[in-house]
Amino acid sequence: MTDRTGGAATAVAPSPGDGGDGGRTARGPRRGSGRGRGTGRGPSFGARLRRDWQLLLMALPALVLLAVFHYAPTLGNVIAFQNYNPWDGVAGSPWVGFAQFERLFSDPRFWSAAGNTLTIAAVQLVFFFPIPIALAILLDSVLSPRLRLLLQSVVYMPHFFSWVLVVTLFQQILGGAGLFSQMLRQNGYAPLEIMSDPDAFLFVVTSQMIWKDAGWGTIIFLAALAAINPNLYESAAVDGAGRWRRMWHITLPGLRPVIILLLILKLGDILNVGFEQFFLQRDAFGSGVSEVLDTYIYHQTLVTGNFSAGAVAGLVKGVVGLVLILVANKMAHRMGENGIYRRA
Amino acid sequence: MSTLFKDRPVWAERPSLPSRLAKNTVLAGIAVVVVFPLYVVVLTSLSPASAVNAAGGLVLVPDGLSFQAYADLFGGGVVSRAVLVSLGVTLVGTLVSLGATILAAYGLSQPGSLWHRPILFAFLLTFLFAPGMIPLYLLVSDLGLIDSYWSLILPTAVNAFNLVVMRAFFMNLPGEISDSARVDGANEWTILTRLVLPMSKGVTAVIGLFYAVGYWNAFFNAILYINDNAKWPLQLVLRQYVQQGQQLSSNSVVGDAVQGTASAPNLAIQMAIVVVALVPVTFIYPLVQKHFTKGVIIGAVKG
Amino acid sequence: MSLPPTPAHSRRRFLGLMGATGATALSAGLLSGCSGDAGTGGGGSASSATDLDDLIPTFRAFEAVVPDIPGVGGAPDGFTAYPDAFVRAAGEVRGAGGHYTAMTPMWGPLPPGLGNNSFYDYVNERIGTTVEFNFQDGNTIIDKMNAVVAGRDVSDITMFPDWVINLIPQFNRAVGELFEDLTPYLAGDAALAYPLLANLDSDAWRANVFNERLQGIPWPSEPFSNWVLYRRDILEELGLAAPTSADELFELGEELNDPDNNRWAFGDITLSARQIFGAPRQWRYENGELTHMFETEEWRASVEYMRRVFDAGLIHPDMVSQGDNSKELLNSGQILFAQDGLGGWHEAYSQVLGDNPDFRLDLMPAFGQGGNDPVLHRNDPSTQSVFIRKDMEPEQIEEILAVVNFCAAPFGTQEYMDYRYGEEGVHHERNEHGAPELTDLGNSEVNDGYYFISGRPSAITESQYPDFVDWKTAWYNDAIAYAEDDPFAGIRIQRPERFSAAELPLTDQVENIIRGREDLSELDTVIDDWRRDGGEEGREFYLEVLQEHGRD
Repeated sequence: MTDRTGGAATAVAPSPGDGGDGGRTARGPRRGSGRGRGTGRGPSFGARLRRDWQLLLMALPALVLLAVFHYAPTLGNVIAFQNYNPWDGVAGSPWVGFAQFERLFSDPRFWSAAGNTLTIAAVQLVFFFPIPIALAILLDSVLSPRLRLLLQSVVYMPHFFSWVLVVTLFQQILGGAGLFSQMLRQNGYAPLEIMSDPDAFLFVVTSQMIWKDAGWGTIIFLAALAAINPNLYESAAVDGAGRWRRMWHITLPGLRPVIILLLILKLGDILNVGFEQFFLQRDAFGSGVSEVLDTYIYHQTLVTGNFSAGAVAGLVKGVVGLVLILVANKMAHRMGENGIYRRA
Repeated sequence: MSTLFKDRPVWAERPSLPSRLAKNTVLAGIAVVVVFPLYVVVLTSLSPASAVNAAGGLVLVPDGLSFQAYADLFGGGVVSRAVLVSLGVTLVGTLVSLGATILAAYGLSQPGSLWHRPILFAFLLTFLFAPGMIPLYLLVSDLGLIDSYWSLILPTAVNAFNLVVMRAFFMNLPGEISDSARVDGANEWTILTRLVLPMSKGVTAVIGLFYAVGYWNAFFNAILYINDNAKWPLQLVLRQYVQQGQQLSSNSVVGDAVQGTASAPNLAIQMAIVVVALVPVTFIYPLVQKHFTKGVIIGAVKG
Repeated sequence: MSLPPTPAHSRRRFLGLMGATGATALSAGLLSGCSGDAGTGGGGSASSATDLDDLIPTFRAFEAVVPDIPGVGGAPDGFTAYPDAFVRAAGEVRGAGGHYTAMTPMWGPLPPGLGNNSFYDYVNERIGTTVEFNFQDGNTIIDKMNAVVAGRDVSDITMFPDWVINLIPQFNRAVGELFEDLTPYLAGDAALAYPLLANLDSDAWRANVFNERLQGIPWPSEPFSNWVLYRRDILEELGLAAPTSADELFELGEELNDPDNNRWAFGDITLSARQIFGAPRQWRYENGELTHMFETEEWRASVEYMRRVFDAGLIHPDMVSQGDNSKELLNSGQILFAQDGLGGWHEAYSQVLGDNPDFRLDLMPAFGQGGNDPVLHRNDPSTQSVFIRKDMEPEQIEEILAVVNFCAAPFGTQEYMDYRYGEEGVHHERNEHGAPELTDLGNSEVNDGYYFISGRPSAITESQYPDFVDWKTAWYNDAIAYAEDDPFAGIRIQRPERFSAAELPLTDQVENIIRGREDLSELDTVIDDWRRDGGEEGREFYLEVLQEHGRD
C-alpha cells in the first residue's frame, strides 16, 4: 500500500500509507476511541454496531429498494435450471438441472458469439475506454470558460441519439450510397464500402461507439478534473514543471482513482457490449462478425420461446463479470489502488 | 485567439504556436463531427415533404422550411401532457434515487465500518445479475403498481454503478475533516450534510444527471407497467409517431387512416422527435457543470 | 429507418426475414394439449383434427353493398368510389351502456384519451357502449403480451396479432384460462344475431378455434401479404415496360441502374424472388413426402438469382442495413423496385402524392421464370385475433359482441365510416371524390382502435388515389391464379424448438451467400447442417401433423 508514493494520490490525509486502506485512515477516532480498520483487529461487534448504526441506517433505504426490486425478482433467474415457460411460472415449470447450460455450451454458435463479444469487448477496452479520458483532459484545457462549456455541452449530445439514428447517420454519410460515396463516384473514384465490409466491422462499430458516447463519458472525468486543486499546478509550474509534466504528475494521478474504478466496473460489464448496434447491422456485416451474446440469446428466446436460455446467459455473464471484478480489484490493490473496495 | 487565452493562469506558460494549432484543429474537428449530424437532424425536422421525399432519407442540403412536423407533434395535446408526466417522474425519481444513493454511498464510505464490505458487495451483485423481464413484471403487478407512476421509479431507483462511483468520490475527500467533526461530537447525518455534500457538489450533480437522464429516456418500464395511455411518459408517446406504416402485416392498414394532406413526412416527424427529446438536454449540462467543485481532491505534490 | 431504436423494430425485420419460411405458420385448428409435453417445451405441437364446422359461425354474406370490381377466386373486391349514401348495417344490435377496456397494439401516434376525445364520444354513442382503449407500443407488443399473459392481467377486450400468438409459449393453454369461450354465442346459427360477424370468412373463424372451442374473433386477411412495388411513373417516362420474367427483370435492372446519378434498380426483393422461382412458402407435400423450401431447386435458383443481382450492383447499398429505408428510397426514386407489404402502396401515396401528383406505383406483374408459373404464397386466413376476458356476465359478453359486430361493418356502411373516420363535418369532410379526408380535429383524434377490435372482409377501397383501385384489383385478379396454399393451412402449429432454432444459422448463411461474402457452393453444407440440427426433426413432426389431420 505504501507504494503509492509516486504519486499524488487522492486525499493524502493523516497517516499516509497505513497499510490496507490505501492512504487513508481507517474509520477515525471518535470520542477518542481508535477504530479498527480491519475486521479482525477492531472493537467488539456490539461496540462497532453502536459506533456505526447511523451508517448502516443510511444504507438501508437503498438496500430495501434493491432487495424488493432487484434481489427478489433476480431469484427468478433459477429458470436457468428449468424448462421455463411464463405461463406455468417458476413453480410450474419442470427442473432440468444443468441441461440448459449444456445445450448452450454445446452450440458452436454460442461460442462464436462469445468470441465476437470478447473481441469487441477488448477493442472497446483498448480503443474506446481511454478516449473519454483524453477528451476530458483536452476539453478541460480549453481556457475560455464559455467556449469550454459550449464544447462540453455539444460533444455529449450524440449520447441521446438512438442507435437506429446513429447507424442511419453513418450509413447516409459513409455508406455505399452516402454523402462521401456519391462525391467519390461523381469524381470517378470507387465508393466507400466500409459500412458492409466485415473486415471493417470493428473499426465501424468502434467509431460509432466513440461518436455516440465518448462525449458522454467525459462528464465524470470532467467532474474529477475540476476537483483537482489548482494550487498543485501552480506550485508545479513554479518548480519548473512543463505542461506535459504537470499532466503526468498532477492531472493523471488526480484522475487515477476514478479511472481505475471505472475500468474495474467496465470489466464487470464487459460481456454486455450492447445489443441494438449489432442487431441493426447484422445483415450489413454478416452474423459471422456481428453476432454477440445478446443477439444470440435474443434469437434463441424469441424464435424458440426459450426464456431459460436468456437466464443461463445472464448467469454466465454475471459470473464472468464477478470474477473479472474480483481479479481486477485484487490487481488494483497490488498496484496500491483502492479499486472498488479496499482489501481487508 | 486572444479570448481563448486571456483566461490563462498567470503561472502557466504561453503554449507554443504548433501546440495551439494542433489543439484547436482537433477541437474544431471534434466539433464538426458532432455538429454536422446534429445539423442534419434539425434540418430534416424542419424540411417540407418535397425536400424529404426528394432526399429519400435525411436531408443534407436545405430546401425549404416547414414547421409542420412540430405542429403535428404538439397538435393533439398528448405530447404536452406526456412532457409533464416525464418531468414529474424525472424530478421525483431523481430525488428518490439521489437521496438513496447519497445516503448509501456515504454510509459505506467510512473505512472500517461495520458490514460495509458485504453490503457493498451485495450492491455490486445487482450490477452483475439482472432480473428477468417477466419476474419483474409479476412483482410489480403483485405489488399493485401497474398503472402507478411509482412503477417507473422504484424498480430502477438505485443504480449500483452510480452508487459505487459516488462512494469513490466520497472516499477521496480529505478524511481528517470528518474525523475532527466526529471528535467534536457531530453525528453522521451532520457530517454528511454539512461537510461531505458541500464538498461533493460536482459528483452529486453528475450522478443526479445520470439518474435524471435515465428517467427521462426510459420507456421500457412504461411499456410493461403502464396500461393507461394518459400516464405514458414522453419517450413512449414519441415512439408511437415513428411506427406509422411499420405494422408487421400489410393488413393492419394503419397508414390507411386517411391523413389530412397537411401532415408532415414521417422522417421529418422522427427527426422532430429527436430534437424535442434533445431540447432539455441542452439546458441541463450547464446546470451540472456549474457545480463542478474546484479543488476538493487534494493531490500530493509532484512525484 | 425508424426511431427511436428499439429492439422491436429489428424484431419485426427479423420476422420479415423469416417471413416466407413461416415464422407465423397459421392456422385454424384445434389444439389438443400438444403432444403430451405441455411443460417440457421443445416438442412442438399442433391441433388435432376434428370437424371444426360445428364450432364456427354460419356464414351469411352481407349483400347490401355491391363492389364495383368484384374480386375473382378469392381476390378482394374493389370499390372505385365512395358511395353517396351509406348503408346502415348493424341494425338493432347495440350496446347496453356498459363500460369496457380494450387493449390493442398501436402502430401510430397516440390519440387523446377518453374524456378528451370527441371521436371516442361519437363512436361510443353510436355503438351504445363506452369502449376505453389502452393502446400498447406496437413494436414491443410481444414483450408486453408475454408479461400480460404470465401475469393474467388481460383487459375486457384484448387484441393479439397472430405472430404474437404463435410466439407466446403455451398460448394454447393460456387462452382457455384467460378468455371466454365464445362457442355458445357464435357457433352455427347463433352468430346470425351478429350479422356483420356472420359476414366474416369461415377460414378466418377456423383459425380462432383453440382446444375445440371458438375463442377469438378473426381479422380476415388479404390473400397476399407482400410483393414488389415499382415506380410505374418513372418506367413509363423512360418508355420501359414492366418485366414479364425474372430475366427481363434483371435486364431491366441493369438498364435502370445508375449509381452515379444516385439511382439503383432494386431494394430487397428476396422474398418475391422465391415466389417468382416457385419455391414453396415452407413445406411442399408431394408423393407422401415433405420437402422444405430450403431443399427445393426453385429456392436455390432464387438464391443464385439474388446473388447475381447483388454481384451486378443492382441493389441499393443501404439495403444492407437492418434499419432500411426502402420506402423513402422508393418514394424518392433512388430505387425503382422494392418489396413491401401491399399496404405500402397507398401509404406511399398518402406521403407523396400531395407533393408530387404524378407519382405512381404499381405492383410488378406476377410472373415466373423459364416459362413456369410463379407461386404466390397465400397469406394466413386471419392475421390477428380479438379475445374477451373470462368470467364476465353473459350479458356483458353479448354487449361486447355487439361492439365487435359494429366494428366488423364493411366498407360502404355508415358504421364503417363512423369507426374509421368519425363524424362527417367534424372529424372528416368528404372531398370531391367523395372520399373522407380528416379535419385537423380528426387528425389528432381519429385512430385505429375500433378498427383493431374486429375484422371485416378485406377490400380495395382507396379510391381517393388516382388509378389505385383499378390497378390493384387488376393485379389481384391476375395474380390470384398463382396463389398456393400451404399444406398446413388451417392448422395452428407450435413449431418444435430445434426446428425453429436451426433456421437462423441457415438464413444467416444465405444472407452471406447472396451478399457475396460466401460462395454459392456453401449452400449444400448449410442445408446439411440444417437437416441435422432440426430440419429432419421438423420434417417428422410436420409429417405427423399431416397424418393426424388426414391430409396425407
